[in-house]
Amino acid sequence: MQVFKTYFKVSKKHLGAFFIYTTIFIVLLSVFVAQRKEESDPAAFQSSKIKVSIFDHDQSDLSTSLVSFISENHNIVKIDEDLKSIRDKMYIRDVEYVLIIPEGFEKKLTSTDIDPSYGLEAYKFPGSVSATFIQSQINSFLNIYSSYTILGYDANTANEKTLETLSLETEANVSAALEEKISVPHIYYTIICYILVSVIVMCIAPIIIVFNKEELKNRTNLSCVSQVKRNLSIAAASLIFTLLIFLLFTVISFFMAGNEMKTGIGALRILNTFVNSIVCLSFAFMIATFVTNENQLTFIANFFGLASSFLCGVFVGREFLGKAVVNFSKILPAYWYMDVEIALSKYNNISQFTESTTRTLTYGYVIQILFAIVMFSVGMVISKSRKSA
Amino acid sequence: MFLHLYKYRLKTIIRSKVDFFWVLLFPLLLGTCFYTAFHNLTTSLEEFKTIPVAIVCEDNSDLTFFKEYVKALSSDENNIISVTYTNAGEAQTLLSDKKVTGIITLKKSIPSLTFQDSDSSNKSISQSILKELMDSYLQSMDILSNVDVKDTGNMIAVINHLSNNADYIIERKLTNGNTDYMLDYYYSLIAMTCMFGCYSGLSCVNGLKADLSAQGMRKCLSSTKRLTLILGDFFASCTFPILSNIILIIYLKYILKINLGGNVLLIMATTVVGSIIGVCVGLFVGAIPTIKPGAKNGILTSLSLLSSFLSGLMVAGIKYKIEKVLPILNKLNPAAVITDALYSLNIYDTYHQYITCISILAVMSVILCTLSYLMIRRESYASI
Repeated sequence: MQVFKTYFKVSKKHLGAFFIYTTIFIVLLSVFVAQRKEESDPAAFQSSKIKVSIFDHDQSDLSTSLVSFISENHNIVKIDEDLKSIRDKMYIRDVEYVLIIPEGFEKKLTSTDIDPSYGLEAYKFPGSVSATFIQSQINSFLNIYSSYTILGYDANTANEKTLETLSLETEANVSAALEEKISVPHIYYTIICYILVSVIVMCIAPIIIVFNKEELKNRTNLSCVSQVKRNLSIAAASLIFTLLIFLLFTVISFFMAGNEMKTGIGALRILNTFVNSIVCLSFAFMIATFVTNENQLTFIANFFGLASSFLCGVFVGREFLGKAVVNFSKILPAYWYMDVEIALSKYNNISQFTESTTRTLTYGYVIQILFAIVMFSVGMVISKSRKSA
Repeated sequence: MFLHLYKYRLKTIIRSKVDFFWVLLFPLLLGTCFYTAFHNLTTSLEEFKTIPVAIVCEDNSDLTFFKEYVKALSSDENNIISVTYTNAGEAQTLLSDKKVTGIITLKKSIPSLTFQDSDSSNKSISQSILKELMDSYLQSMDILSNVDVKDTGNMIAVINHLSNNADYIIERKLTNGNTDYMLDYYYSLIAMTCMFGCYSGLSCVNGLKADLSAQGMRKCLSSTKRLTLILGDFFASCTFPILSNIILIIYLKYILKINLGGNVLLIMATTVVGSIIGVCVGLFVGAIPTIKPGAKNGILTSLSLLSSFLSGLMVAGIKYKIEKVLPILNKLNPAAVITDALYSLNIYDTYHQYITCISILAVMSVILCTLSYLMIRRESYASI
């Protein structure tokens, strides 16, 4: 009991890390939730809109009509017409495409054969998909317009007929897909993967390090408390401390996501986080056996937390990571945590689970537990070998 | 004496494990993380890739014109779409397995499209392009329906014109630099390494003041001029973050092959000035006599991380949001000025903006150095 009580007395001194990481967690959560896109109606197809700036030096009927056509289909951003401003705005993606309509464009287009040297000018990112999209629309507009002029229509009528033709659209249907849904519980239980490892390691490992200090260890060995009892007390206290951290974050998730957590999916998310907490505890136990001071610990905890989050798809979606990176990340427990979380995010109800989903979940939980056992055993082996040395 | 002081101070810093980890190793590891997470990101989000599409013909109507149109789009020259002709069931499987972006179903020569709901913006633009291509087909058919069948001259002229697929747009070159906005993360990483020089600055002051360290007591007793002592320590403190930055840049540019944009020597020169400002911040905070030694470390950690955060280390684009709301903050934040200097080397053809940034950093360094010197020189201790 003595060791158990002392553990919590020491823990009070290490609560700073807990508050720092909780603050980081809330900031990250707000940023990710703010960036979340509203889920669109799956039945209706909506064409993408890109951010365009247009400088119309022609001010003719044709150019005005082209500008209004682009305005209807895309978002127009007003910027100054100087290269510095264009470069600055495009670099930060405030603008994706800049179109310049030169003076006399309509005259050139309607008079003779189309000469590209009198054409429109554009700033774009080489090979970009948004530029390909808008250019295809602009070329289509001008192709239709010039077809009507070839057919002998005057500028005004050609313009009217162009708009009439452009109103013809292909029918497009969208079927709902089994995709990762970016809901609040999904964001919460994704970022918690980074936070848990940092909080648990930074809170628990320093306390175990204190107990492992030579002087304190020798003093405890002299007392009537046996080695087994001492170790069990430390393990029990660490487990309780981890459970408290886990419970606190679980309660917060109920406040943030409310009803969405009161489902079977919510329960499986909590189970996943619980298993992950045990993995983090084992990791903390393992590194506390060979790390001797807090500087090294801060470094390892920060690096391991950030690296495994980047590699396992916590901050950046897995689809953007290279195949080799994804394969490599399988050796990290966070990969299996995220595997379960991604699988759960696709469903609203447990009854919709397919066989492969159940398999993914089982693998995810079991492999995480195996990681915990392995890390705990490694910690025990190191600790024992040091003792015998 | 200067060289002697310089040498021993540098040895002390290099042997300090904390400095070694945070100033040299941590940026290298963080850079590696950024690389694994971001090096593919802009390409996946922004680059155009040929759109795979399944085509299903539901009846036996004449599709000569449509097939010609599709053939032109999928030709090696255009390479906009890649086509698989198949039946409805197979097409649906391809769509569900994400092997195709959409299905074109032809009924009485009229195409209709089926997509799967998508969260990825790149994929949704690809869907929009596919729809635009089909719209364009429908619209071309509409134009041809306006031509009198007997008027063969006009008919041929319009068909020729439409099948020409004229491009009316000439591209203007935006910049010679690298427009990948993920570069901001690397610029902030370099700025963070510069700012971490503040720890060397702090230990430099600690080693000079008799009330802070035994080393300081010893130095106060020596007959060497105070200015020589300060300069020797100061230059040694600057050397380590400068070396770390040079190693980081070589690692990013030549090992990870990241195109940092701009002349590599000028990028290194920027980090020299950046490291000096980092050390100066450490000197200044360390020299303030009223702050407790423990608090100084905390202040410097918060300052260096906050300034790196505001320059975009954790959230890309935060600097530009600050520019809209409180532009003066970006001019006062050394990390933001360092990233600005690196950005201007990358994007602009002239050095005007770059020189402004470097001048701001130089002026800041001189002010902080002078203030620190005024606080440290001629310091005397009461007899107790």
